[in-house]
Amino acid sequence: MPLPQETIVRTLFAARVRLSAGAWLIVRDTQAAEDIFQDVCVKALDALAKGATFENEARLISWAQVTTRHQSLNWLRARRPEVVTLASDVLEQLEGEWAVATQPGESQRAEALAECVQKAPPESRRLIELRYHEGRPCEEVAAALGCGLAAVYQRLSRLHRQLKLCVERSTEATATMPAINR
Amino acid sequence: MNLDPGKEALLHRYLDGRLTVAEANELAAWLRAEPEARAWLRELSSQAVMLGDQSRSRAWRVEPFSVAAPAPHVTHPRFQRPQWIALAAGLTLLAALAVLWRPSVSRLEPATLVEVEEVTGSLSWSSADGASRTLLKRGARAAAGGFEAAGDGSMAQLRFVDGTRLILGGTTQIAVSDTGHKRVQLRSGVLGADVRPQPPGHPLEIVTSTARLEVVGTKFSVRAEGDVTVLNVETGRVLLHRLRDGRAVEVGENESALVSLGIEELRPTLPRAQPTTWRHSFTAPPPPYWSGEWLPATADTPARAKAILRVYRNLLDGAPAVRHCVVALSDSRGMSLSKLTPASVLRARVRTTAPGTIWVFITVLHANGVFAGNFETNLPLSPKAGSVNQWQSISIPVSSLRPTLFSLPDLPTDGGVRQLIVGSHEHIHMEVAELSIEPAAQ
Repeated sequence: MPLPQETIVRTLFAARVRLSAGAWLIVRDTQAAEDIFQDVCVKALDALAKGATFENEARLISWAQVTTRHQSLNWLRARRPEVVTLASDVLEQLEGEWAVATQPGESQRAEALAECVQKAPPESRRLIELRYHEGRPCEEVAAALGCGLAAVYQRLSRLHRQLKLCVERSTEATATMPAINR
Repeated sequence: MNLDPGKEALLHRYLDGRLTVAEANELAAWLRAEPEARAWLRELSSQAVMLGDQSRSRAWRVEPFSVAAPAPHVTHPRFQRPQWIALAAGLTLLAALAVLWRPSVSRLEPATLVEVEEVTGSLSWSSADGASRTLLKRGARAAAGGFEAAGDGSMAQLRFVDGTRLILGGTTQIAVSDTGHKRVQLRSGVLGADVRPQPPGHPLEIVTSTARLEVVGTKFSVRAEGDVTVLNVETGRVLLHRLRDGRAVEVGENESALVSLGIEELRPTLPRAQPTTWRHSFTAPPPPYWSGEWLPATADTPARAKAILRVYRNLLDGAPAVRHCVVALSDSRGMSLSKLTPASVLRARVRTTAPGTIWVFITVLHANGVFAGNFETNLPLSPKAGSVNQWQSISIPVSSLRPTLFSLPDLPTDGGVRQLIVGSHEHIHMEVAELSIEPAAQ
């Protein structure tokens, strides 16, 4: 039985981070990634209105991933044509693995990440501020931090590893926490 | 995870947009061969998106109140662009952040500042540092932080311990704190306030991008949109400071004042007489802050607005909802589209490609601009045989609309319509050729 509109919206929003991340690794701009995700949602509902059907959630997500990729590539060509992107077969490989990756709920991860950022040392928070909140290219981040470009890349690597570990620990702890007052 | 440091640097150079084609090919070859590298890239991308979400949540956190210059203008969405009420923001803001929300208030302790007395639509709270985000329901208690009512028809009423009330009408973003005196930063939207007498020397402050209000104890509303602040006082007095030049004016009972970058004059005025009739026929593109897709007239079809998809999120049950809407909104300087009388009738000329349910919704303000409630109705539209896609007129006496808020159940006798929405639950390609509010024919 084809998915009804409500299920389509719920399914897409449940996969928002995954889909937006797929857009981000092409456009490398968080706001643009968010806009693309929204456009994909509207396209799904428009398609439904025009008679298209999505047989199940997996097919919907698969369609959304492909649409997100196309939208992202169009965005990049239109706005930053000088920036190269990954080969399409690699993007498809990533999408396929994203679809089967098992991760805790997105809201749980997002909340854990926010807590981990709060716990991070000030210099790490500054790096996040510059790179992801202000969206600055790494060259500007390096200038702001008074270090070289290679050092920024190393710091970003280290930071993301620490955040990953922190989020995993936090979500595992939550998952194993005994139920109280139920 | 042990990745080649050199290749990982290549990955970061890619994410930084600095790779040459040859380097991109090298990176692609590495990614094809290394599942761990691909997993790491997925992780980096997910983290980037979630960190970006946090950034947007911080965009309206509590900020210092020593605002000396006007903040950047709020840009209105394009008329044709789908708007997201979750958000709304501004409508995109909330859509981005909903994953961070939890229908829980446990994080709001210990420093409770306000209680949510009433809420319809979506009300979210974020901590002052932007790190936590929570969807609030009626009865929730919240600490200092950012509050966002999202959605055309949303409304939220917050009450301080001393009984002072703030009412957020429609999509409104504020940040609230109390460090000896209450401070409210109104980023955008409409805020009504019923302020209990404040301690001497500690007035309640409301700051917008262009003005600062000092309030000792009074009832008023203030609207901030872009570089315009409109103050309407119902009772008492409010001291209004213009941030641009520091000039101040006292605005008394039933008076209004406007602060705008483009207007030199700063003085209180009496409310303008509102017309009791308003009509719009889409012969020209509507203002950018309306919603819908404008279509010019053709040989056999009048100019009209096509309903656009709007995804409303986190309504009462936290679920996304979809409507296809045309939204008419009064401008930031006008009090309302039209004054309401008990005999007022809302009319719309619509056509659809199939039967469906038409949703009509109004936001009502008192004559002085204070939020007076939301009212709605749903009408089954069942075109007669052969009349599908033909224009039909619907007429709805305002007295037949039902309130959406328990606390504001009655249409005010002095009210005016701030916002009129005609929408459909189903995607039935609704088009609206005319909207009007007028007294019923005698």
